[in-house]
Amino acid sequence: MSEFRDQHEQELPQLEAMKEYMEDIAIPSEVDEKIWSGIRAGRLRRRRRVYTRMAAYTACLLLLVSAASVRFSPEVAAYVGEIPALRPLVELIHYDKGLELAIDNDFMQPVGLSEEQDGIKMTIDGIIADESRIIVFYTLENMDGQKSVVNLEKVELTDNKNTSISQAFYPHEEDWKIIQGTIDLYPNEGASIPDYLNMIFRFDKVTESATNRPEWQFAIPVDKAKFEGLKETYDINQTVSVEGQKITFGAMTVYPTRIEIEVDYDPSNSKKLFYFDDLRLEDEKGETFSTINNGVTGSNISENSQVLYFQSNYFRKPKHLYLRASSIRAMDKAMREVKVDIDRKELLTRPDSKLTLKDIGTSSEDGQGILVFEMKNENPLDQNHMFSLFESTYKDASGQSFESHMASTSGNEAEYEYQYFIKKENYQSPLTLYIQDYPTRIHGDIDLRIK
Amino acid sequence: MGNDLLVTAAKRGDDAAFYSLISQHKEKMYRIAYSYLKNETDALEAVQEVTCRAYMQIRKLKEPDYFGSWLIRILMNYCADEVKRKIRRNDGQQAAAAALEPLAASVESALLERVMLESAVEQLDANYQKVIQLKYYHDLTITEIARTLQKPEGTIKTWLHKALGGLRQRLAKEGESNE
Repeated sequence: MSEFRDQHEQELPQLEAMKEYMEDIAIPSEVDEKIWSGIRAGRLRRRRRVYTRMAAYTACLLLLVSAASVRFSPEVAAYVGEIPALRPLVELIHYDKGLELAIDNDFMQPVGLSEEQDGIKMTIDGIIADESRIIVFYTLENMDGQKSVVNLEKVELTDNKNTSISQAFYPHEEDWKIIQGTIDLYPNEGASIPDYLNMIFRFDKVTESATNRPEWQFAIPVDKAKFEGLKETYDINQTVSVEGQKITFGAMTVYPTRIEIEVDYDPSNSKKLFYFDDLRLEDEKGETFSTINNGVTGSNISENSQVLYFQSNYFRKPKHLYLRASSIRAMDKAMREVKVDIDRKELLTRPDSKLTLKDIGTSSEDGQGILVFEMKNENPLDQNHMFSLFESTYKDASGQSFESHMASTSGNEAEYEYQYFIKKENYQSPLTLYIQDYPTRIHGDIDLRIK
Repeated sequence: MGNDLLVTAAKRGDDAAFYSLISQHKEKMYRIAYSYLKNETDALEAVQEVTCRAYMQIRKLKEPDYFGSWLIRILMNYCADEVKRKIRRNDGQQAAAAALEPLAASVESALLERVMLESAVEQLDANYQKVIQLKYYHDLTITEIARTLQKPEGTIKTWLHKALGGLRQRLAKEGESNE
């Protein structure tokens, strides 16, 4: 190469030797394989985003989803030994103090049922159950080290349609050894807990060859004596006003796995209240238990009334209890409509400039339309929080209502993409979507004594 | 098929096109990774991870001609982070020891010379190090280095000049103290 010679260069013949030395480094034959692995991982990771599927019977549940399953990387597996040791199950629910307390207080029911299919061994490790909620802990083991990507495709209770199921599962990379996760079951109002949970799981494997779809079936025994009669109820019945918006807190029900509080919003409020930022239960020692921030966080009873779920301090047996909060995400009711011109791919109305429409696309899998929004939000209050922006119901210009069954978020808290899936229909533009959560707020202290 | 077409196809999601782009640079990628990470396993891991990152970001690549420089930049960022991570994990000494191992069989004086040179290079400022490595270890042109590091060619020439000067001084000093 004669393009550029530096005066110092001639004095350093060693440098020239380096090039030859580098060229002597043999290229291992695995490098091509690694490139393909990288491509596959890239394809997966590009797709890796949190999907919220909204089945009809969960439409009234308020969901927040973050990682609820944990992947063991092969490096970690190698570190802990040839047969990787299982993590303490408590680590899977570290996001919920109440559930951690439940485990500490021996409230977990060990199960230990296993079934192996197609090289994947699934074990139901245990459950935590009471009348309001059942959490199923499971472990997947890749027995013969098959290279395949697994994705939890289906979870079903065969004989109980009156229960909602919530699960978060990321597609796992192909070199997995162990995956541990949890599945939440919520018996609907009035549904009884069965003596056995008859559950079916199906994992989709993305491999070159495998097209069979084995199912894992379990009859998981539930020891109901363990939680019978543990429920406690309190009447709060107090109304507060924050920036003129009236909120009434009704009955509180305490279960070991969660606490439920009824909340009513005055229909004459000018704003729609979305979520409390920091609503919490505080005991006489100042220990706080916040609302559940992963999984089902509440359920809507009607337009102006909902039940919010808190991490449970049941096992702390507090003497006194206060309900406190200082800010609420809310928006003028008239501002909640976002109109999307689907022909010109632009927003006709939006709450503010934080929200933009990036694109309108079509899902390659099922032809559904995808409205791709972008959210830019630097508010430090919203760290670790990506908003589920829109309600599942939307309308077109003719006034007809439709249901979206899927939404997804990807990116980071300051700048993320929110995809809203719409059915393949002949819509009359514009579509109207309704905001259900947004980083606009009202402020004011709430401080109620419950007991 | 020219790189323009390959990049366009890769952006559309054509994996074969993407593979053929990466493949053009695989030897360089592996060797640069090896020179940073000093062992085969980590270097292969780097190729995989950098391929993955490039795959995810290819839509952001504006100039198809710069694919190679862009890829090497991703690689160097990855390697720099990995090296830092290794040092944090206190694996630094082990890594250095591992690096010497495969060389044990080579001629002793050549080995000593190279180890001295490498250690002198590693004492240079980060930017000087990169310029020396890219130019002399991996045979990149000034233009390619400028694109990879996203600096004007003039800056690269200045860095190179200073780096070579520094290197010469260090090697001279080492030589004296060894004699």
